[in-house]
Amino acid sequence: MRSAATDELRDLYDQYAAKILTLARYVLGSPSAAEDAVQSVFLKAYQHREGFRGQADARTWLWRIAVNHCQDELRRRKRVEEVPLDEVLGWANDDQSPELRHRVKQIDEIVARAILQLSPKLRTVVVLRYVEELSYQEIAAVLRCSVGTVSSRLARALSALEAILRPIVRS
Amino acid sequence: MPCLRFDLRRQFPLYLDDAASPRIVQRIERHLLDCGACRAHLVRLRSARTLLGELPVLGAPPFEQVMARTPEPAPRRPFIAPWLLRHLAADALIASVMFLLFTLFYTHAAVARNRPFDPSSFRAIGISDIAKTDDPHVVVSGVVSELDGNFSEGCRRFRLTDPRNPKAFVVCEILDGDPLHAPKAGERVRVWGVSRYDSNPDHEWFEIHPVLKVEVVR
Repeated sequence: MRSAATDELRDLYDQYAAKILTLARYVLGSPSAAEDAVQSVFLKAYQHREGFRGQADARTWLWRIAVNHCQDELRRRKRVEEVPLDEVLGWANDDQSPELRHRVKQIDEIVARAILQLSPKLRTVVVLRYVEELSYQEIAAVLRCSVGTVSSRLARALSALEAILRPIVRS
Repeated sequence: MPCLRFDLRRQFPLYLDDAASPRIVQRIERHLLDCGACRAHLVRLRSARTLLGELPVLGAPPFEQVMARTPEPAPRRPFIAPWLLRHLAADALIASVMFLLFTLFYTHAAVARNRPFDPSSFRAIGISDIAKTDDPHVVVSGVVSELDGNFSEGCRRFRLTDPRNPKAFVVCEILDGDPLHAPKAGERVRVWGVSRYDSNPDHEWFEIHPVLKVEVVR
């Protein structure tokens, strides 16, 4: 690989790798699949960089590759692997007490598992909006749908998640 | 009571995220004033949204580490798609069951065809009473009153009359190609065969068709 090309790929990686790993982790549910996804997405982006230049927003283009990869991966394997989420959720704030850190981590694990119970479409839109914090317009551009459709999917996803997570919400 | 304003409910995420247009905000807020169900629904969506918003963004491993990994080979696609395989299996099962049923039926029919003719299983009945039975296998006795050697209808036909009631008769038909000999007129015979009614407007009579056995009574 030429060094200029490697640098270009590294720049893209530095900007977006964490976001794409997060998306893949919450959508695919497995740490190894998420890392594979990051690798595949950046290789694909690098291979198709000529076709991309001068077209859409780089961010949207990369998100689209990532979303399509996750959808393909989910189609390939029918069921999401059950992998302990604490492998990846080792992020707790040091300022918090150990009890609170443990509690917060538990809740995040439960929420992440609840996301995996949604359909791939709803899962993707929820992660893009509430974890990656993309705007409605950006999500609509990535998924090639209308803002109304994004909102509609979010409404269904939130409603389903609330039903799953009701015990936590009440406590 | 559930609210059916799905057009507004699908906009709730936009409303919660302050991304709805002023017109939509106005419509939603006007509706919320009167609709307790939607107010409760909105609170539930907000709770779920709050939990999601607290999920951490994960840290990516170093560039070199990820790019040095060999991606797991994608599982090989089966030569035949699973859904097609399921359809083929279902079709094969149906075909097997049909083949089995056909074989059983055919074997049964062949056995029935080759079963020796058993005159004792035929029901003896008088010619005058033939209309009273629904048993197809009958044996009738009478006098041959008329012989028809015309093969135009594909059978040899003779009329059998009840000697005690000359008005009562049945028409007996021997299939063409059957080695049976037709009796002579005036002979008293016993006939085994299948009874049926010929509703042809020119006929309208009871028949023994086909005749399976003819025995001259001395």
